[in-house]
Amino acid sequence: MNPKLLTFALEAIGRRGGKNAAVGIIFALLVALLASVLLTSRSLQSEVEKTLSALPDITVQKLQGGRQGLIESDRVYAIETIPGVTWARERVWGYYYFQNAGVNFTLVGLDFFLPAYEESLNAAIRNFDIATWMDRDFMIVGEGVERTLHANYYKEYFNFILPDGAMKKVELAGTFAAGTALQSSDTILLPVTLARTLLNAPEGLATDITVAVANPEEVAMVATKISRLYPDTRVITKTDLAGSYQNLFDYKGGLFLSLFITALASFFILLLDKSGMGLAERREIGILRALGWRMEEVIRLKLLESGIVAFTAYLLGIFIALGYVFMLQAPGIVALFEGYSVLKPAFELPVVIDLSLLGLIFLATVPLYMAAVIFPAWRAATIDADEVMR
Amino acid sequence: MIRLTNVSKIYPLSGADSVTALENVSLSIREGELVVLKGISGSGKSTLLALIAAMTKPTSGDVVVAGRSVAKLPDRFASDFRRNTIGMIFQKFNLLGDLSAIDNVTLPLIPTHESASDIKERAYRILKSLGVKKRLGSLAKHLSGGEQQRVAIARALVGDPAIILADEPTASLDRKLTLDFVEMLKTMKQSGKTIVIATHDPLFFDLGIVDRVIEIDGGRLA
Amino acid sequence: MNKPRLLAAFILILIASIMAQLVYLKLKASAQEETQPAKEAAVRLTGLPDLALSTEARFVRHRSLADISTILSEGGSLPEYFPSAHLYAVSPQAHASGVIRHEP
Repeated sequence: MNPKLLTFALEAIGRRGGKNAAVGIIFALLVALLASVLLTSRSLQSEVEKTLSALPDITVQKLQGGRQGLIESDRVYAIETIPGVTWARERVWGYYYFQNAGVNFTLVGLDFFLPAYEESLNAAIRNFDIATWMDRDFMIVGEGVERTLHANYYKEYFNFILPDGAMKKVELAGTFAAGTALQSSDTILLPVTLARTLLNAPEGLATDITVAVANPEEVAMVATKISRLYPDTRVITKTDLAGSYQNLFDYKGGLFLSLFITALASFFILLLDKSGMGLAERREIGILRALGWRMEEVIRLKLLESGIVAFTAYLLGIFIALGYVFMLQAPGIVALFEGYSVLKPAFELPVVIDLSLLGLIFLATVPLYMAAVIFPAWRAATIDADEVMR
Repeated sequence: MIRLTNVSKIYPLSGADSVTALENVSLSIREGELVVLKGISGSGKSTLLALIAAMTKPTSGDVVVAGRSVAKLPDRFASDFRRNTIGMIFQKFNLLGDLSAIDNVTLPLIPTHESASDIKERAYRILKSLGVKKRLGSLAKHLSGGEQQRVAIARALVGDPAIILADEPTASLDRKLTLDFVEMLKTMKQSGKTIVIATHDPLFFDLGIVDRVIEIDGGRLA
Repeated sequence: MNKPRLLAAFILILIASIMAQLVYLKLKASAQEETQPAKEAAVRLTGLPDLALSTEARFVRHRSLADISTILSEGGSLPEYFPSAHLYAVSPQAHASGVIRHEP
């Protein structure tokens, strides 16, 4: 690297300071936009992945006429006889629409007295002592549910409306820990019998069946065996669940990307067309060529110039994006993910700085910018040097 | 030193049109000679200089400068040739207005391996010998016409070339500055440089130091 | 003042700021790590996947457990209707094909 050329390039950036600053800022904002969306979705994806190990290995749903129906509870026993299955449990869960607030709650029935849950209850629930709640109708709610109930003047209990229209008073026994909002915000945990009443699931039937398999290698085999055993079921493995988060940017996510690419493309067309290579800049290249600069030296100068501007803008863009996503909690972008949700969880985006993601953004933007500058420079440098004499 | 043999240069225009700038020109200039190319504008003087400087290639014929056939040089050798052998003074000086006087002078040497302080030192010395001692750090666009001319000459001399080419060097200068330029020419000639000046300023036609006046008209030697 | 130096100073300050930002975020990340057991416990209790981010319709809440029929019961065009659907796709096994289904 020739230090004189570097100095000259820095000076050249300074000489066209206004233009370079304007282009650099627009470019930085584009990088920031792209990085913000990717960092936000990466962060949310990691949140799902981190709790994946806590999920049951297999979920078995029953299909009736192509739709999910209630599954017979005694299928649990047959499934448990399949070699490799540690346990199978029936599960009762569903949605409850709270009309006053226009909010969907997720109701989950739980066998609170099963020793297997004790540790989890202690870790996830605040201020809850199971002993005081024996034989009472109680519930444990997520942060969002509590917020909604408070807003509707329910402090200590809530009146559910049963399928037959009658009221059912259920006391508030505890809340999920604040850090779990992303997992539990809309969730209500209830004793199984109470959940059956609220969700109209008669004894002997369940929403679905969850299965634990000791050896992860055997999950697919067990899943196949279950679907052979019960041809009317739909068997979802944990791998499927993980897979469903991999396609965050599939054809619909591509919509954002295509909008972004359009914005990026128009920026580069503008760069190529208007500000990219002004008359003065072309004249400058002509003079350098006439004074004995080689073509490759002119190109190297322009590479340095555009590289410094693009790299600085990239750094600025990443700086903005990191601050926007992880310090300001990505206002606007998170709203995109939340959609029309009435019940928005109060959560903090987990900090995930994926260097390969930042590298990807670098490769997707900086070389494009440099090419947009180099191409006209190369064209200006190839014309005969005697241009400047005319 | 410089030899042109049956050189023609045709500039293509849009479509089938073209302009013949030079037609079958042959001439020879010896080392240390000061030659004036005389002719009205558009007669082909500038094209002749561009051909000698390897800034453009002839349509036909051969151009040999300092023992090398520059008509066939690939770009990187042509560029090196311009940097090492040719000092060019342009009609409108072609300085970069946003660069300081001294930076304009060092411009041809930036891609070379000489150190920054060396080439600055050299530029300073040349500017001083041409009488520019103050305002070396001012931007070229803020300099007076006379100062700009000296900076342009210094830039042509900074690479210590064997050949100086000047294209209408006095066209935008007043009488006094033109006479100054003639003084500088004398010094350059004394240092043994081969000089070619393209001009239509009558002052140069009967100057004592001029060895030869070659007249060009409509792309041919008269 | 000379512009190249200003630019170089700006780049250095920018790099230093990013470094400081990364250190801060690293600390924040390790602080967030402390809530991890609670998060896992919460998921273990419900056994349900998916984040409580999109709750506007039943099929988007636990979308990896939903199937295409659930979606269509909301109306054939609805999946495209929610803005969240544009960034956060319906799970692949919701569709009729793919290796992730274990159906007869």
